[in-house]
Amino acid sequence: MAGNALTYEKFAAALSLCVGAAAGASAPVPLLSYEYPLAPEASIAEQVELGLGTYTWLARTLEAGAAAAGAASAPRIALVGDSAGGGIAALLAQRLAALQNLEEAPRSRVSDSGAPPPPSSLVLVSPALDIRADSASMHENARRDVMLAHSVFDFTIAALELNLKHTAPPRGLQAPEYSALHGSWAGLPPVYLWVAEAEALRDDTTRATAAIRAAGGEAEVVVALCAWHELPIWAHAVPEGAEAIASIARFVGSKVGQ
Amino acid sequence: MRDSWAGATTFERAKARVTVLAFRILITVLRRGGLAAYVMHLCPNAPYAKDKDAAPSPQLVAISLLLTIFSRASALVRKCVSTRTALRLWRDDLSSLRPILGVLPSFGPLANLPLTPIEYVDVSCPAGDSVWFNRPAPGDCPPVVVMYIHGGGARPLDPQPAGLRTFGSAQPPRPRPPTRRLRGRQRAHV
Repeated sequence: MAGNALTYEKFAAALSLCVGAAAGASAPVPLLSYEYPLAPEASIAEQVELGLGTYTWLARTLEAGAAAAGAASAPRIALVGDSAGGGIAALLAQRLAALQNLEEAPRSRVSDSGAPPPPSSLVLVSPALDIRADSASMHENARRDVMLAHSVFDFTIAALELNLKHTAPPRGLQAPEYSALHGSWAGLPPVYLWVAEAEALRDDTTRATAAIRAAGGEAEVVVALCAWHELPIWAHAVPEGAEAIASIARFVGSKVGQ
Repeated sequence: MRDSWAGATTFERAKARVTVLAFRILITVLRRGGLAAYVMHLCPNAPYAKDKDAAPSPQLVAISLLLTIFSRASALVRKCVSTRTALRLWRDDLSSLRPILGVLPSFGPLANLPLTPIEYVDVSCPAGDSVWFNRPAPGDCPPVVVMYIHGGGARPLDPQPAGLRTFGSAQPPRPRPPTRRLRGRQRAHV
């Protein structure tokens, strides 16, 4: 917890490199990593709002760049998040789908309503999708999870609940605005989910996979054995992490043209 | 501010201080990478793997052992010191686990990963403190651009708010039992 963009710089750089190779580009693809305010100073809703603003800014910047270069279309955006960032990415994708009203209208790359175009794919690595979940893996893997001790959940929940005292959401942390697992998964782009079998958040991913497929969406899930929370961020040091990031990149690359 | 040591016995204080000292020594060793090198030397291959093709890499085994030691040390500290002290330790020491990522030896295709150029986004981006990896030059039209949202969305609280609900339970944590000295005082009042 208490992460920042520089903590994950090697993962970001590896992702840029591997997606570039998978997408057939001659160089690493551009990757934007941004800071967001942490709880308790910020609520999850505020974190998602900043994500939406950043995504919209990025989409508009790419559109302007493509227009200036005379390109037929702007580059697609692949949305990637891990752990708490995975939860924010999922909530952001749900917001974008709602803005596009994709549940009722065919998917379009540029929305008539002026909403930013949807991402080409969504990648969630060990995502925290239900902050108040009392799922089986939380207890089954309480001692097997070597990255997320219960103390982490304690202070995360404490930070979020402290924020709730000021923002007063109507339904608490299980509300769809806070826990993507309880939101609508309809109309999302293809989703790639990676989780370790031995981590406490495992069931967030497996439940989300079922929800995406039930909503008619495409979900590719990897439940990795002999791994831990966010193993792909260790890609530069662990071969299994490098394989995971290569798999993520292949998925992202395969969805660019769709 | 509440004194988390109020009411603790001499033995409790000594036990906590020894634990914290041991923990800090462990952190120092981990930070220097000495233990990681030792574990990797100790476990050149997965001892429990029968199928070598499916065997976890020695790097994975080594780092998982490292994380396991870290995790157990954290749990031990939480048992031996107050929540407040444990949270302070987490903030000051355990959170430094992730920077270890930066000093681990790199292997394979991602060794010597180019981290530059990194460019700070201009102020027009809603998130002011953002970084580009391989920012597109004017006229570039890459097939895809990645927007990445990092993990770690909350920071530890210090002090922890009273009546905090703990993980897996809707009940507030049980108060610490009164010490013998306090019970003695209570008896005196009675």
